[in-house]
Amino acid sequence: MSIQWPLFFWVFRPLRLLTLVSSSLATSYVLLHDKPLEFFLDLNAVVFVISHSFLISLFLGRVRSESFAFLYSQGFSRDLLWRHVWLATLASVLATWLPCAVLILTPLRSQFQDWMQNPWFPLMASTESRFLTRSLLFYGMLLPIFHYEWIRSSMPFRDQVSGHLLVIAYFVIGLFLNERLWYFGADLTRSAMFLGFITISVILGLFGYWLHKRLEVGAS
Amino acid sequence: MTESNIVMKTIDLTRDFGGKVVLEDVSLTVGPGEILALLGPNGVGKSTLMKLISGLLMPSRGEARLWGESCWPPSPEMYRVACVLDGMSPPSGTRVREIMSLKSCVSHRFDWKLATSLCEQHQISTASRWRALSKGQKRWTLLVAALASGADLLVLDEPADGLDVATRRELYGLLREQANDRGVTSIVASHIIADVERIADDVVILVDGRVRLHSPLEQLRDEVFEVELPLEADNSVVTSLAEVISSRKTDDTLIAVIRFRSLQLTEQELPGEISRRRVSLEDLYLAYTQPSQIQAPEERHELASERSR
Repeated sequence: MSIQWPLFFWVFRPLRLLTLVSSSLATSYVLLHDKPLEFFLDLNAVVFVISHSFLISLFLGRVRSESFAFLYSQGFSRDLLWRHVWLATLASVLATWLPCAVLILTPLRSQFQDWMQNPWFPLMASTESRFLTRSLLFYGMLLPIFHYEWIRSSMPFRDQVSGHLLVIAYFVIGLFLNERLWYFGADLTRSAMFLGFITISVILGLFGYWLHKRLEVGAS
Repeated sequence: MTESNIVMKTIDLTRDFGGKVVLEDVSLTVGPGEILALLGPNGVGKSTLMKLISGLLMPSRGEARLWGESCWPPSPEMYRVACVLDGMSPPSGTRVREIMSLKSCVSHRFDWKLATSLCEQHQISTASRWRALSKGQKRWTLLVAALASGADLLVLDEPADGLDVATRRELYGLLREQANDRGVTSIVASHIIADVERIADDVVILVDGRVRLHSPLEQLRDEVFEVELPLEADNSVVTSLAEVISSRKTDDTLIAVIRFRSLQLTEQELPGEISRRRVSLEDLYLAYTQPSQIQAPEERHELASERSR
């Protein structure tokens, strides 16, 4: 897989400021948060990942802008462009979370909190690596849906299934089934919901790739 | 032109936006090294046609092909096409160097030396940011990127927009040079007809989304005339030899732009009361697009002397 660096920097350009802000926010949060980091129990972290994923897709998917049309009119294959959209996405996520990973794993965060006389540390430090893997997993589940969404919304045939609606419907059905499935055990319920979400992400990710090849640019 | 060396071919190409047909049943063929002038009033579908050829829009019906490959979904052959289209520009903070670098990613044939020298000739530094360039410099930068890209097909929508006369001539000189030296094909949409008349091999006039005329320019020069005859004269001779493109009456004369049905027929003698003269591409364009706008010769002389004053 070849990376065209000028193309990569071009695609990444709209994410520069966002990445700087998200990286600063995440790093500060990880360093200063005085409770043990537990991803799905921490609403702030969940909202942060959702917002970051949404904004990445929003900035990369300004289909009606002149600069988007310019890039797509330069003769690059749609596969190459799609690959670089994902590389820019990955770069933004990694630039945001690598400093956090360094803080958690080295463990600078633990030292800092210990220095602040936080009684949880360094005892809790060893469990926090899961915070990183779970947040990255959540990005992996959300980004295909958000990327699919901007492509779908710019197609002339907008009656394609909406990714957002699908996810909302999934959660409503999930909550409805949750109580009924609980009978079979909490782990099974959680696993079923997780697998359901992964399935939606994979399907929409593949469908997004397919639609991107047919993405209309510069339609008046 | 054989099927194997056709660069661009459209077959019944049609596109509508929300039910409004913008382009209808357009069938064209362009060969290697040809320069095709795409003419027509605003809103007749020139830009849409160019976007369809460039693989940016999906046809509602029909097909556009480049080197035998369908343009939709965009084929990998698109790297051989360089476009300068309206409403498409880089972000304002981009440097000229970055635009050239991006283009050089598409094709290994990108000529940095040519790009740098063409920019320098027009006082454009490769370190300049897009927002710091004038309108003409912006247009020239995009044209330079296209010309230096080593593309086999150039699709240029109003390339002369914002360029001064000297730069326009330089541009068209470069297009002709590339066509002669490397067999580069160009499709050029322009409202400055006198400019494209100098370089075009073929002319297409679009009216209401349809091809009204597609012909080699040389053939048009030989076959199209403006004839003037008294109203009472028998015009059946003219209609039997030629297609009447447009006509208008004055008090006592009928003025018509006609196209002889073949080159041989142009040599036929017309009755004495019928005078004929050659027309420019601009006159022909007006005849096809706005028949009522054609000026009588005396009006044209008046207009010309007014302009010279």
